[in-house]
Amino acid sequence: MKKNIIMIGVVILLVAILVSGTKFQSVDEYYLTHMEDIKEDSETVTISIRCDTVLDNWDKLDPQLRDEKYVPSDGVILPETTYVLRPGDTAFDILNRVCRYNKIHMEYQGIENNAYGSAYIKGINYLYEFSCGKLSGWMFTVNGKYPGKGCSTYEMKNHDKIEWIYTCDLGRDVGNEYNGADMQKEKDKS
Amino acid sequence: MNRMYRNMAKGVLHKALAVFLLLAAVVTAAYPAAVTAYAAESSAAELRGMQDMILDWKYAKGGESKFLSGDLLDGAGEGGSDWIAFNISRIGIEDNQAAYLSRLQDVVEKLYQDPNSDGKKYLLSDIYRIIITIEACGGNPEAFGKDPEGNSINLLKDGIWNSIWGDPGKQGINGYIWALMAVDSKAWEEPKDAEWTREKLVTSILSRQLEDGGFGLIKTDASDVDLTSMALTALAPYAGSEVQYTFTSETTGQTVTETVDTAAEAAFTCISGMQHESGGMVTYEQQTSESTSWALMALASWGRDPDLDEQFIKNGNTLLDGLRQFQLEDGSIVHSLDAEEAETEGNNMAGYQALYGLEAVCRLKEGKCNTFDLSDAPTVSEEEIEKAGESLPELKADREKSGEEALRDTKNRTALITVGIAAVVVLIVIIFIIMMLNNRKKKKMISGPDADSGMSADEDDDDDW
Repeated sequence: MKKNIIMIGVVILLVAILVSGTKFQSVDEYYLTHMEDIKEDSETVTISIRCDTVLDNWDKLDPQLRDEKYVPSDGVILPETTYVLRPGDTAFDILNRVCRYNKIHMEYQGIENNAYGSAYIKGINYLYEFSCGKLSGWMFTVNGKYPGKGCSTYEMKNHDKIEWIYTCDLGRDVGNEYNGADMQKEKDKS
Repeated sequence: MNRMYRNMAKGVLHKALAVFLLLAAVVTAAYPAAVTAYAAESSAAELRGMQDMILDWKYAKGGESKFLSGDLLDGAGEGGSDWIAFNISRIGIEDNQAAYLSRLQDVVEKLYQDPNSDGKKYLLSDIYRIIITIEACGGNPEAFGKDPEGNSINLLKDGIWNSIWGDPGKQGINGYIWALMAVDSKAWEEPKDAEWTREKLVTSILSRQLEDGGFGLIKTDASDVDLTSMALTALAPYAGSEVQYTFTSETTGQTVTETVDTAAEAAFTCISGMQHESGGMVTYEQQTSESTSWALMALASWGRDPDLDEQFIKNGNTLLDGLRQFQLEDGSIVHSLDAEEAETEGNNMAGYQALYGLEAVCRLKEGKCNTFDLSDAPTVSEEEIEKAGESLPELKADREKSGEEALRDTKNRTALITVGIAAVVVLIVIIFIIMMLNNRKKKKMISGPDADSGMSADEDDDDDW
């Protein structure tokens, strides 16, 4: 009888140790909580979010946003940071996860609302399209180039560098002569 | 002598016959061309057929019994949903318009509750589109929902006449365009104290006409087809008016006095130059369905039939021929034909813009009022809206978890599961012990007062294990 009870006790102890050591998570949660868990075989991307152009257009900025907490004094909302890349991530997926991880406000519009079948980034850190004049909004580059594609249709690759940049002149002040897909839909606004 | 004359007569007759046959041949050859030109004119029925194909595709994707249900209904207040609601109402399809109006009312009331809230942000053009959608579905934008003080909301006044959100054009010229479309949707009475009058909206648009006759987002760039077509559509109610508008051009700085007709003529000429030889309209060097749809809307709103209007027929192809290129077999409409990766399926926006582009042409051919002239819209009573709203589930604000929340949830879940498993194990143990005790009791009773045999029975049990 004693043996039985001892055996049962050992089994319970083992189970308890096993369970408490295991984290029960969905895949989404896993990636969200392991973003900086870079291992040897991890794929990574580097991302930054900037709004320097607003500093040059302060007079056009929505008065309610004229504050350090919306527009940092150096224009950097998120400095260049490297995170784990989940296979199949699009530029949108990365931004979404990064903002949730860093608790940066982000609002986007679903794919049903534009002609490119892509999500559309309306605002980051409460800085929205048109917050700084009628030619302002968010654009993104990958490895220094504007993809000219919607962010949720652009698939990221290992070691890609993605930059989210706020423009106050429909792309012309941030080196994009040809309007990227993200800004082009402005004219379809209705 | 007689024979000579007869021969001469025969000769003349032969010649006459030859000439006649030649003429007949020429006429016969030309006639099919004339017949073809007539046959090339689209019938409203055929265009409505195109609309049906788009709707069938949209319907099949929704998987519900009505258009205005599920995700589409829950998306009220966003362009992707509003335009579908608008289109099916203009086509005359009776659907869940009352429920849609209920959802829109929630959106509008939320806007008034907290204009600077953390929630969704709406642009001015969103508000004007919402006004138009409300009317198309049968609602009244002058009395739509209640503000936090319990007063009836007047979107026309707050959004345009005495805008509480500032200059209608502060987010771009399309603000003026859609504000004008909203106030001209019906014969809305302009308040005497209105700041943004119809006249002011018209001159705000005209003063931004670019030097090439069109309209665009950047003064120094070429005009944009979609924007120019939207401006033309907004100005359509002023066609034929002799009223002269005086304003200072934002583009040239000059003072201009002109009628709307004069400005429109330049605008039509501008976009005519942007039509591709296949008939479609070109934006950024590519034919797009949206630009083509908007050009159709502009033309039809001005009473011009795209099948017959010479200014918009290139290489024998009309704008309708242009649009037909974009419809796939599944009925959907694609955005472009020259994309790097060919579109295997159309998208929602291309679809809804094609729907109202086609609607404009159908209405012209069928002798109905313009697409954005909502005087023929039905009426849905406030009671119907409330009733429909009662059976609708509440919309939960979908907020995705932040990193901290995910960690916390994980810990909570792990703790819960550990406790759960532990509880189950403990329960099993308890049951086992009870069974053991029961067995002991039974064995004691069987073996009687002989304590020893009771003991050995236990040992046997141990051995059994």
